[in-house]
Amino acid sequence: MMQSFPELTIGGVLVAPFVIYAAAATAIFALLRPFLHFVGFERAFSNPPVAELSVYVLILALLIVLF
Amino acid sequence: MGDERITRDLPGLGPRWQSVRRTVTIAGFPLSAWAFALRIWAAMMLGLYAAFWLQLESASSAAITVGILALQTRGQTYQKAVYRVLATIIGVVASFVIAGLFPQTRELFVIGFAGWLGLCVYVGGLLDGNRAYGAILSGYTVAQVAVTQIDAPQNIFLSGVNRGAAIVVGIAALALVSDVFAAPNVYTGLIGKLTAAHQRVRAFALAILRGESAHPIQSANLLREITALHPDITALVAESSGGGARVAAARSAAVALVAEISAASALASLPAATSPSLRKALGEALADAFGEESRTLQLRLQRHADIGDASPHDALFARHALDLLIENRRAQDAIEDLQAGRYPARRIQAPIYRSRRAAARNGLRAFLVVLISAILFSLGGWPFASQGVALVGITIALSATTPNPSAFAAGAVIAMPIAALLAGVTEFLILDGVDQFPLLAIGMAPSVLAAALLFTMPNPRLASIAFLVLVFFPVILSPTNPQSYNPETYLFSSLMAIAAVILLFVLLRTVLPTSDALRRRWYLTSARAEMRDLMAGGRSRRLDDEALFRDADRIGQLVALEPAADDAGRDDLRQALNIFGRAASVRRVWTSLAELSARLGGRLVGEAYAALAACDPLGLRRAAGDLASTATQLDHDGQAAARAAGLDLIWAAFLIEASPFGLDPQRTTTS
Repeated sequence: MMQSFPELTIGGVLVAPFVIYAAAATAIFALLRPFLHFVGFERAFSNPPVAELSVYVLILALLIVLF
Repeated sequence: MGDERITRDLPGLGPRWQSVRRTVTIAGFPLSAWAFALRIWAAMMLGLYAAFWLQLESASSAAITVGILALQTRGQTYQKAVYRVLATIIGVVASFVIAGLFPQTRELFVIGFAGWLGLCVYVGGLLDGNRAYGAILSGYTVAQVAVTQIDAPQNIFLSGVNRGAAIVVGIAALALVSDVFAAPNVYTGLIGKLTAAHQRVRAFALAILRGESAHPIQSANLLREITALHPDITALVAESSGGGARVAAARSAAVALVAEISAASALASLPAATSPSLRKALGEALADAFGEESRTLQLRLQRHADIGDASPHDALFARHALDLLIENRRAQDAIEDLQAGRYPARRIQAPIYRSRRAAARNGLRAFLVVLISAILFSLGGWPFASQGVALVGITIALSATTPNPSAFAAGAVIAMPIAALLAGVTEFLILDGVDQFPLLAIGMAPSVLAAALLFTMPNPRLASIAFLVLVFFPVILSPTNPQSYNPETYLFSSLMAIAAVILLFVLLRTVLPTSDALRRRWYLTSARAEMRDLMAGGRSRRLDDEALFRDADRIGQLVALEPAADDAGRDDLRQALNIFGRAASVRRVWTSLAELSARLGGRLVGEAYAALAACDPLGLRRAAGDLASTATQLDHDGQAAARAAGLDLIWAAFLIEASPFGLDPQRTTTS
């Protein structure tokens, strides 16, 4: 089955679905940040930036797969 | 714990590796500088490649974005990136509005652009660090999006969208490279800076306790060192999920350090023979690096305050000694919180001072410079004239965020020909017609690496020139897919860029130049005006320590100015520090009177308010005496509050009497 992607049109300009996914993933990641701090996410990894980037990529991939 | 956290800054690598990075050098540059330069080159190439792959029209904007965001720490890069995206959106919207308001009328369009740029430069003048950059970028985005399309306004939308897309690609490339190649964190550097500042503040306090007099330049430089950390502190929030806690901790530490300097300076104002035993005990407690001795002395001083003291000088000494110990402990705790990434016990803001007059003058100057350059370029009748106007707009806006715009313009006059030469050599000698991306990446490498390496040099002038080369090299080279290799385009755009910076250099020296003497006068006038308002009861909503930090920021800016020729002893600093101390004492009086008034329902404090508003030291002492005699009828807490308020009144009276600069409104308004 082919997956259909949501399309956003602003003033007649078509915005690529990936942009919407990336923006939504950024928003979700921003909301998750206090929780990550609360559970001590940074302390669990030797390179927290790469771990956080991986979380972002996971959210992005999940959004693309699910919606 | 601290060491462990610092080790985590570089994944899997310990402090030994960090010291290797700093000590091992290749071609005179430490490994950390090479790592930075290679990161910037890799991010620039990744951004360009992605922009070519996505077939964006202004792909070079991605490379320019990387050049502009080339900061050495992740937090600063991310913060600047966020402001770059937001400011670009605002700038593109402003471009539509200005182009829509003045269709077919170029003159009005240029005036509209100059006005908008002036407004943005004004707003940028009220902010610091990357926030100021965001404000001016909102202004000069119009130059890049609308002014360069002045002859074809129908393309503005497309140009704006292309630019926005390329910027996002550049940011994503740099973020990815910074994360994967472990760019340094802001917070590790900030911990080092705050710890060093704390040690210096403690040494300053110890020198005062030994009876040495505090030189104004020393105190002012300490305040400057702490307030100059503000942009780094605000950058912490973007760095990691623990950024919110770290920014709160760093702010708390910086504010506590400023309050510690204020308490130490208050001790310096008291006679050197006051409380010799307490002086000795305080010195030992401070030198003891926060052991039991400090806690014991704090308890002793608190008991001292509860009982009261016969001699006012001894009582004042005890009160300020207690403040010193409390702030010292607060600073230490907050630095530990910053290391551990947890919220501090006290959440406080760290507001900055910016002169509105200086910001307005800068805004007006940007407006005039753009208008004059537009007239000159249009009179010249050259091709690419709109590009020249846009470049003048961009560079004047960028210069407004630097402490010395004229020096920036002088640096730009050197940097622009170098960038043009490097772009020419790269395009026509190294690449010379090739169309493969790997060859472009290799061809750009020498210039980008050299500029990024020089940007890491401690010499600010050289670093500023290197930064401009890093940004303007891709601007003039303007990599496209496929590359046009048009010598005429290169020649015109380079000449226009060089003409634009020379014009900027001349105009900045002739149109509304702001001398250091003028700035000094503005800073001192604003300090006096705020002091007068404070005396008259006009208190801001800020906490006392927050207002103190803002005053310290003003002194930090004052000390950075060139001293006047006839002022080797820095009387200006002496005066500013004097106002700093008195403002702190008056704010404290208001706070303690407000507490007392709330406790007693407004009784007893009327006389004190009146004496303060009249700036009458005798009246203040009388009010303190009345408070002391009436306090005997109050309960224990009431007595303590009355005693504290009485001491604060005596302290304010003491500073007013001791001030060589006077305080009465009649004298201060004429200066």
